[in-house]
Amino acid sequence: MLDEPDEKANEDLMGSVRLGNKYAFEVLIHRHQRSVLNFIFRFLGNRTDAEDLTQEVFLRVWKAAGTYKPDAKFTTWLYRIATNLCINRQHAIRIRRLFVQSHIQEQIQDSKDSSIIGESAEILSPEDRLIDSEQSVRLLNALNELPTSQRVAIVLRIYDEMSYQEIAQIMDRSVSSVDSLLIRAKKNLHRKLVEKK
Amino acid sequence: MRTCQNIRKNLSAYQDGEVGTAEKDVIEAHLRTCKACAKQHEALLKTFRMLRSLPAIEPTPEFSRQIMDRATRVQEAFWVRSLGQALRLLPTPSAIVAVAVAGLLLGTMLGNFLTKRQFRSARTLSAFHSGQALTLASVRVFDATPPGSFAEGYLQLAGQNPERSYEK
Repeated sequence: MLDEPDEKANEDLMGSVRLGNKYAFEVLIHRHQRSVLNFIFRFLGNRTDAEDLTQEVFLRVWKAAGTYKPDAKFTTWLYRIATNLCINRQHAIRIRRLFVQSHIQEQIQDSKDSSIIGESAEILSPEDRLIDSEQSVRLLNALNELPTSQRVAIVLRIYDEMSYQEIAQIMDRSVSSVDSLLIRAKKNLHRKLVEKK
Repeated sequence: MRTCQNIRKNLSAYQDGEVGTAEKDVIEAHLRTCKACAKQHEALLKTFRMLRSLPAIEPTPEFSRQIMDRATRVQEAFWVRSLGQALRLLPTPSAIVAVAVAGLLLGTMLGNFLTKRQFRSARTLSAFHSGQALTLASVRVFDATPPGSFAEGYLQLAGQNPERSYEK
């Protein structure tokens, strides 16, 4: 039946979410949680952060449902929220790492105990070990070393299979700009993954 | 014949299926003849395949429930906040006391006014204690606005005096 929420288009469901319909919201979560979770995971390279941020993305959708324009494609709006949150979180993580590094250096200065480095420099959490093969870690690190805009473009293109047009809308750029971002991203990744192998 | 530089510029879009048919034919023809560009094309494809091999992670079964719980808490917090804001819009206790006193004063004045009008109405009736007047006055008990009733008082306040027409 076409009226069943499970079969409705994303944009129609958002119309119901705007009116406070929780069931429509739940259908949207079920439909997009996996792709958003993986987009964020590939962007940040950490499962715990990815899960936390995915929840945050959907909460933003719930809170900002009133500002959603029905003529806009829902996934474009959703990924724009996800991208902005990823960039913000990345800044926070960098600051946290800088703080941890300076803290470690202070401790080394104080105690001259190099064993601290081994304990504190561990970045991967136990959950991350789901993807702990050497190849996967290398891929995630290579993605993580890309400049932010290149990383967003390549993750949306390769893993979410979005068209250049969609990526351009999400990133608020022109299609030709997305094209050049992807060329640079692929070249960078090739250097990191193939040439250095 | 297109230069290698131009071809390589469009290789990424070509691999992503983002070039038109004419451009696609030109690139494919070039790749068949130019080994250097073909090598770069293959290298980029290899990177692409490698990136695609990164396994996906799955959300836990309770993941969507956790989001829904958080959304419910957000909604509840919103209502609590809205109620708090509405309460802040209410007047202060001193303003409530002032309004109550003003209401009492107004009520007293209105009560006095209505009572005086009713006494005046009763005095007018006593002036008609002749037989006919008494009979007619008694008949007025069945009127829509019997003398001395609340309805009569209301009509007097509204500017219509039912007695006036009766006295005529």
